[in-house]
Amino acid sequence: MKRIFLILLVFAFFVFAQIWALFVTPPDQYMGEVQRLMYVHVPAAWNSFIAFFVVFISSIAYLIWKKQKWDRLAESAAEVGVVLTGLTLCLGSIWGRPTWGVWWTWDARLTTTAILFFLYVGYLTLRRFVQDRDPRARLSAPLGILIFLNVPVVYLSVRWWRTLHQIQSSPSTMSPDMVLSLRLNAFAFLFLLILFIYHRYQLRKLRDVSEDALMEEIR
Amino acid sequence: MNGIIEGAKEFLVAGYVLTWIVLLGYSFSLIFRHKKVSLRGTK
Repeated sequence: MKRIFLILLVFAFFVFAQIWALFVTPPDQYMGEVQRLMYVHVPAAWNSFIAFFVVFISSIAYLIWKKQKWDRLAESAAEVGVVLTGLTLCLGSIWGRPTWGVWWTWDARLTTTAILFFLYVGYLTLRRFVQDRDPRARLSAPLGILIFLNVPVVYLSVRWWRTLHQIQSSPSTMSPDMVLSLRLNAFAFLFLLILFIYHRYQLRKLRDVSEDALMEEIR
Repeated sequence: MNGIIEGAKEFLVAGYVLTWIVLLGYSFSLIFRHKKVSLRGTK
């Protein structure tokens, strides 16, 4: 009961943040209404970075302590991160069409984000090729550390290669109304991220228990 | 620039609808997968 209340609370906060972004925050002077896409595009991107950082930390933790819980956490965070990165790319494309005139361009930020997406899809796909839990975790952990190197590249790509995507805005260059709306939505996405990772972790745990029970029966 | 952006409200709607589809879709996928594993475990 307490868990359902918590889930409802997270979704209610998400709805509140979305309403705030759509109806309370003023539109951008130049881009108009379409700029409101920032309040979903940017939080999705930030939180995908957080998810991949969790993969990175859990992979290191697995290599140190060799506990399955770290591998479960890495797998769960990677899956949620992939969902958010996919969403970021799609929203960027929808925003790009009316502002840049194109759905896609080989801009540094877009390209590195697409690479990031495919790296983690590859990570999750490779995991499926190994059935046994321990070898799978042993092989996945170094990969989870290695592919995280692309996250700072994505973040800094707009500074390293000055292409079409704008560089990061800071609170000093934005209207306080917009900063508030962005923060609200960033936290709404963060709570959702925690909820998703937690439930994906529980799913993997249940799967492990079910597999163990099946193996016991076979024996 | 404004000429391109005017009337771009449908893109805004598309973006927010897509966000909800993805997030709700993933939530339901977690629920269904959880149910599937629970059923398999009780067989």
